[in-house]
Amino acid sequence: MGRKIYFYGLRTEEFIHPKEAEAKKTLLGSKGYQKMVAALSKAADVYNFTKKEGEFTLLSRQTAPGLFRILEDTCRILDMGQVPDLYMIHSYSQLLLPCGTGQDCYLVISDYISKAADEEMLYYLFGNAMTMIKAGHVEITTLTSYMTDNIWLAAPQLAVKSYLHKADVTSDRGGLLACQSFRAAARCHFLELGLPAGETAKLFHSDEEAALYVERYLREVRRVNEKDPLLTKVSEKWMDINQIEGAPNRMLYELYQWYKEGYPRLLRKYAGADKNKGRYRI
Amino acid sequence: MIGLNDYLHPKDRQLFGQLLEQKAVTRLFDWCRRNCLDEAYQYAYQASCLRITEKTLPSVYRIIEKACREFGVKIPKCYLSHNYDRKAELAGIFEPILIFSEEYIDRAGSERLYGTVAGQAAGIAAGHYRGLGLEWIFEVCADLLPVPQAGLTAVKALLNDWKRCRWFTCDRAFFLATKNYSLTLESLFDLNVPEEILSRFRLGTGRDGYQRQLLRYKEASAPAEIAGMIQSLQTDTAWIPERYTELQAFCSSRLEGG
Repeated sequence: MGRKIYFYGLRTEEFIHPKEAEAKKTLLGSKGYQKMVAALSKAADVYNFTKKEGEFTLLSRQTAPGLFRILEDTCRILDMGQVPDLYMIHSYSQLLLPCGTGQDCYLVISDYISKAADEEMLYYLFGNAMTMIKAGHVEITTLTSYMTDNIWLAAPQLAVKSYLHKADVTSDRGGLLACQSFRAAARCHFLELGLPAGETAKLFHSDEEAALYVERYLREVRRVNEKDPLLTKVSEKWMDINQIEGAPNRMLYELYQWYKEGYPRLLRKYAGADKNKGRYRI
Repeated sequence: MIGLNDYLHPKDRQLFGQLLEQKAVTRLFDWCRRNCLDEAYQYAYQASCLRITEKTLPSVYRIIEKACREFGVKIPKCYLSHNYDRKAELAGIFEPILIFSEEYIDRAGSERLYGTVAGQAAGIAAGHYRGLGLEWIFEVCADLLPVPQAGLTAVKALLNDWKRCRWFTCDRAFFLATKNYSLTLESLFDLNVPEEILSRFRLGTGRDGYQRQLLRYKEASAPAEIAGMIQSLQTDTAWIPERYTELQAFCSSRLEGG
């Protein structure tokens, strides 16, 4: 991997997706709503304490030096003040999620992804998770644990899901800023779509090759969607209503667009930053 | 041979006894016997999983033979299953079955595998498969059960509590079979954490990397503790810090007693 740029002084506003900023304003417009989100997140924290300390395994620099080196470097790259606690769980999923509230945010990583993802992919995944903390997504994500099938809660739940779909786009951008490799970002997305990491390592070897591969994939998606636009629209709406995460092909599309436009602008802006200036605490 | 009283945890004994004394449980077992559910259960595994024998998987079979001899139990029927979430599990209603995850066999190593099998052999000696069989009955036959649902709620809560405590017995048996304190402590985590990370925890030594988390668990705030009790009623998850603490106490008493 090449030398990384450290984004000292990075603000979320510099890379937040404009639709997320709008959705955040709508969702968190009222102080009452903000207080409710804070209270529910705190309650979820308390409720999940036993599961966190009783079932997950807390890692440290001594027990997982490789993972911590990447996590700490990611925090420096994104100019994050504090390195969160890192827990591991046993799960056959591509899981690396932030949980908790405020200063007590922590990360949960699955044992599967710690083995399946290589170093540059881990930079992306940690960057994605840390951006969720930096951009204040975590407390709202916690609300999803309260979601039900109650029809009376459908509208507010839809507003939360809509926000989270847009917030995911911002997190992906943060992941790209952390790894500074479109190849790594694409491999993580394709892993989620079912393509093993070992295969994508062989399929594209550079950011340019990854971009070509992604373009081909997106063209194929467009071709399929154009066969029946009405069905596509209905399916997309259905997925938006029912899924907490954004549709994978749309997420990859959004990231690819930003990789071509916004990402190079940020790189140019911060490329000259003095690497030794830092506010991180370890 | 290692005797039952050497490893059977008092809470396991007490709760299991209470479970089997429930009238609803007696009725359920009678119903299972009348409807040949045990045979159906056994047939399902026979038809869908590879049976472990001295011919199909001799190295693993020898480990099972040794563990069963050590704990004085008949070798059960053993099967391989594709399962990322398990190591080895007891099943069966009137006759025990042992199901191994192929993924765990692949990575465990013979000493660790022996300890795990020893834990399950101890479970056979203690009759655990009957309690685990109850869980299967609740899940699979919920609509057919001859007992009202209200009567089953108390049984389910008792079952969850017992399932948590039965691990104390299995963990003790692991230690008695392997006589390896660090390995026994590691067995609590070897499903959660890859080997290269687990070895750095130095469990059971003066630089035990788990102590910080153990302390956090024990120093839970009052609301978190209450929430934990509520969660414990709803799940059968055996909280690792509790297993760790029980195991430490048991191993210390054994090591001191020589």
